[in-house]
Amino acid sequence: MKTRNYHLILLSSFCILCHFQGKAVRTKNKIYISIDGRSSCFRRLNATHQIGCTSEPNGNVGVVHHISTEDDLNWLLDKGPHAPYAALMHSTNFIMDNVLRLKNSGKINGIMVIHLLENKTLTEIPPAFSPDKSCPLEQYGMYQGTNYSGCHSVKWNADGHGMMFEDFDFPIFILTNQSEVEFMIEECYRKFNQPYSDGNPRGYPLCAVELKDRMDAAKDSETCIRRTNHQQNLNPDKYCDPLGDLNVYATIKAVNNTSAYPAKSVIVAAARMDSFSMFDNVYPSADNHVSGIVALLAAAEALGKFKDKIKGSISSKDILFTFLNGEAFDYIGSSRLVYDMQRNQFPLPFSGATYLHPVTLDHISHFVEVNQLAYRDDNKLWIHTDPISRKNISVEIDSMIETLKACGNKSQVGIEEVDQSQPLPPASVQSFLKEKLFIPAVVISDHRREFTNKYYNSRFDLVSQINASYPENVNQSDWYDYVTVQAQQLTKVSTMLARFLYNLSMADSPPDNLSASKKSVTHMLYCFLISPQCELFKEILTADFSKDLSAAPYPFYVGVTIVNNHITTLIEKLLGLYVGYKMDNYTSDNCVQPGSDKVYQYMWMQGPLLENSTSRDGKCIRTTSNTSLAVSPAFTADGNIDENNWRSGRYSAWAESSWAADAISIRLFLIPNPQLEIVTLVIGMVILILSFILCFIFNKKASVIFANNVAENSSSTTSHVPS
Amino acid sequence: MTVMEFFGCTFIAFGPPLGLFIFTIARDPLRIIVLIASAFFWLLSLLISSILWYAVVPLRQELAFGLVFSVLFQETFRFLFYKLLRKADRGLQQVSQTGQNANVAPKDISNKHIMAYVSGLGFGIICGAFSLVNVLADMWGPGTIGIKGDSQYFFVASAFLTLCFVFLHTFWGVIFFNAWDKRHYPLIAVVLCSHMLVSCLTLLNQRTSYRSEPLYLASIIPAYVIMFTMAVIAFYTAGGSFRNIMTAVSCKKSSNYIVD
Repeated sequence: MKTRNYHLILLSSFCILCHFQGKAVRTKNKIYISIDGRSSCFRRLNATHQIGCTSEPNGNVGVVHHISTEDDLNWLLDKGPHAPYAALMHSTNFIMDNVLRLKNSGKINGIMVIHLLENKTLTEIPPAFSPDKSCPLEQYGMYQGTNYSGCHSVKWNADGHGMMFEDFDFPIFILTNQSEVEFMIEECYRKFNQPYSDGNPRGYPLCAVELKDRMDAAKDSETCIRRTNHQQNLNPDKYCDPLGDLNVYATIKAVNNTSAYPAKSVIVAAARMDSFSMFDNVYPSADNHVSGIVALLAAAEALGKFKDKIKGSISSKDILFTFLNGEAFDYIGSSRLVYDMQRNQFPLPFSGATYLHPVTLDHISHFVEVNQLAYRDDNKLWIHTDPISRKNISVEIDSMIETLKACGNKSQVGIEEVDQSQPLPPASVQSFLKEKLFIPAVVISDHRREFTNKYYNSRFDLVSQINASYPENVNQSDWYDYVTVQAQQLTKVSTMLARFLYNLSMADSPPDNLSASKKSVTHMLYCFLISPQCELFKEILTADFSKDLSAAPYPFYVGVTIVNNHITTLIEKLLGLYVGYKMDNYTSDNCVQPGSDKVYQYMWMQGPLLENSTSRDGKCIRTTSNTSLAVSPAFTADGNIDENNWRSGRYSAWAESSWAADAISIRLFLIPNPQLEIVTLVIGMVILILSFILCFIFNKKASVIFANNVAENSSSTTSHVPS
Repeated sequence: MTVMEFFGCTFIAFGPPLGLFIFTIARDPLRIIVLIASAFFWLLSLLISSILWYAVVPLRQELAFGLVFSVLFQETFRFLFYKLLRKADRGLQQVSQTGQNANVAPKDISNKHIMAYVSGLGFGIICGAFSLVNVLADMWGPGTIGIKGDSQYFFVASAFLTLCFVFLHTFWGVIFFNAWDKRHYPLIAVVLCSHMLVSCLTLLNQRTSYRSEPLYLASIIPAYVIMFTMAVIAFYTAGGSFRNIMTAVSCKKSSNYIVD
C-alpha cells in the first residue's frame, strides 16, 4: 500500500467530492482497524439497580494487554504504567475474581474476552462458568421470608458468581472472529505492547483499542421509562423497553366458555422457554432450557395422537401445555400467567361461547414442570416438590410421584425423588404456589441438589456439552437425521412425560403404544440448537416465512416487549401441529377461523416435501395452540409502569436499555508517543509565531526590500495613467 | 487524543500562509478577489486532472501518470490565469480606483509582482488545503497512523511538505508571471521543471514492495532546497537584493509606498 502521496490525496479528495467510486484510500483506513466479530455486554435495569456495561459516549480507549496467565494479570495490576488498559482475556481468566480485581484497580477501561468455540487453544471451555447468581430468582420466588429462603439448604447454582448482575462502568465484549483475534494478539499486542521479558514495559507508540458500547438508560427502569415519557420534541428517544414476550399454550380438550369446566380439572404441563447470557445474541441455552422444551413438545406430540380419547372421556382432566417466557428475569411469564388467571383473563380477556373457557388457579389439579433435563445426576432424573405444600397435600403429591416413577420404569428412565425437606429449585411453579399453596406440583429436573449444569445461563451452555453434538465421521448433511445419545435419552423422558400426563388425566394407565417419537426429538434438537434452516421448521411455516429462517440458532433470550421472538412463534407452531387437527379441503387462502370462532386457531403450514418433487403437501391445522402475554404485570401493555403492581414489588421490573445504531463498535489503532506529539505542537507554534512576525516585518519594510522594483516601476507608472 | 498532533500539523502547514494572508492580503479587497480567482483556476486544473485520472482506467493505480499530467495542467492554468489577469488589468484598475486619485494607477496594478504574488499564494493555499485537509480531518480522533506498518512521521512529513508546496507555488507565481511579461522563456522552463521535479520527489514517500519505510527526508530535503532556490530567484525577480535587506535591517526610515 502507498503511505503517502501528495497527488493521490489531491485526486482522491476530488473523487470524494464527486461521489465517484474510485479506489481512493482515506487516511482513516490506515489509522483504524475495525473489529466486527464482536458481541457486547449491555445494560439492563430493574426497579432498583442498573446492571451490565456501558462506555463513555465516544467509547473507552485503553492500551491492549493480553492476559493469558495469572502473571499477565499481575503485571497489569502492579506494573503497567500506561493505564488505562483494555484487557484481552481468555475464557479461563474471565472469572469474577479477576474481573473485580481489574475493576477495582481503576486501571482498566474495558475488557475483551476471546470467544472462539472452534479453537480449543484460544478458547478453552472453563470447568464451570455461570454469570447468574448462586441463588437465582430467589427474590421473586415462593420462599422469600420463609425458613427456606436464601438457598440455605441448597445453593442451586453453586458456580454462579453473579457477574451478570454487576454494574460495570466500562464495556465488556466477546470477540468471535478468529482472524481478528489473531491480528489483535500478534500485530497489535505482541508487536507493540508486550512487555520485555524482564518485565519492563514497552515504549510508545502503543497499540490501543477503542471500545464503544454506549447505553442510553441509567439508574433504574422507573427512571428511564419516566424519561422516555417526559419528552417534548417531535422525534422522541426511547431510553429503555420492558423485557417480555409471549407465552405459548395449548389445551387438549378445547373446552369453550359455555361448557362445564369443573374446578381441579386441568393439569398444567409447563416448561421454561428462555435463558440469558451476558452477551448480546449469544444465548445457546442447550440444557437450560432446550432440553426441557424439546421433551415437553415431544410429549405433546405423543399425547396429541390420543387427544380424541381424552376428549371423549367426560371424567378426564384437561391438559394445558404452557411454555413460559422471561422466566430467567424474575418469572415474567409465569407471574403474568398467574396474574391473568386470578382475573379470569387467561387465555383471553374476553368471555363468550366462542372463546376458550377461562382457566383460573382453582382449575389446576396438578402441575408438572420440566426443567433442565440434559445433565443427569447419577444418570437419573429427579423429582422436586415443595416441602411447605407437601405438609398439607401429601397424599396427592405422593400419588403423583408414585405414578411418575411407574411411568419412568415403564419408559426405562431412572427417576427418583429428592430429599423431601429440600425446597423447590428455581422453577416457574413457584409463581403459582406463591399465590395458591395447595396445588400438587412436581418439578422434574436433572439435578439432585446443586445444578449439574455448570454453565447455567451462560455462553457455554452448548450443544457439545450435553452429548447432542455429532461425531466427526458424520457428514454435516446427515446431522438432521442422526440420533444422538441425548436425543435417545430425551425421547425416553418424553415418553415418560406423555404417559404420566395421560395417566393423570384419565386416571388410567396409558395404552402401550403411547410413546414419543425419536425422530421428532432428533429433529427438534437439530433445529433449535444447530440450524433453524431445517426441514421440520420449514414444514410448520408458510412458504414466505420459511425462506427467512436464519442459519444460526435463534436466541433464547426473552428480549424486549416490542420485538417478537422467533422461538416463541416456532414453538407455537410446533405445539399447534402436535396437538391440533389437520383440516381437510382447506387451502392456504381459506385456512382462517370460520366466523367468530375464537376457540381454535387455524394455522397454514406448507407441509413436508412430496417425494421426488420440490412442491410441498400443505395443510391447514386447527389447534388451540396460541400465545398469551408474557409481560410483567408491573408494566402496562404499552410499556409504561402500572402503578399499583409496580409498588407491590411482587413483579419483575426488568427493562433493557436501548442504544443508538452506531453505539457499539471496536477499533484498533496506535496511540502516539506523547513526546512526539508535544514536539509537533511546539514546532507548529514556533512556526506560526515566527511566520507572523516575519510577515509583519516584511510587509512593513517591503518598500525598502523591493526597492529595485520601485525604481524600475516608477518610470512606467506615469504611462499607466488612463487617457 | 491526538489533538496536539492535529494542531501542531495545522500550524506547521497553514501558519505561514495565514500570516501572509493576514498581513498582505486581507486588508485589500482586490487582492482577495484575485486570490480566490487564482484558487479557482487551480481547482479547475484539479478537475481536469481528476477527469483524466478517472478516465484512463488502466493507469489509475499508477500515481506517476496522474502526477505528471496534474503538474502540466496546473502550469497550464497558471498561464491561463496570467493571461486573464493581464486582460483584466484595465478593469481591475477601474474597480480599485476611488474618486480622489483617479489619475494615479494603484500600486497593485502598477507593480506587476504584487498580483503575481497574490495569485501564486492563491494557488499555494488551495493546493495546500486540498492536500492536507483530508489528512487533518482523519487525524481528529484517538489514534495515530502506524498499525498497518506506516511511519509515525507521516503527519509531520505531510505538514512540512504541504508548507513547502504553498511557498513553492507562491514563488513560482512571481517568477512565472514576470517571465511571461519579459518573454524570458528559460525561467518558465525552470518553473515547469522544478514543479515536475518536486512533485516526482513525493513519489519517494510511497512504501513499495522493496522499500518498507518511506523516504521522507529524501523528498523533503530536496524539496526545501528547491524551495529556497525559488525563493531567491523570486526575491530578485521582485526587485529585492541583499543590499536592500541590509538597508531594511539597519532600520532606515522607509516609505510605506509599495505594499501597504
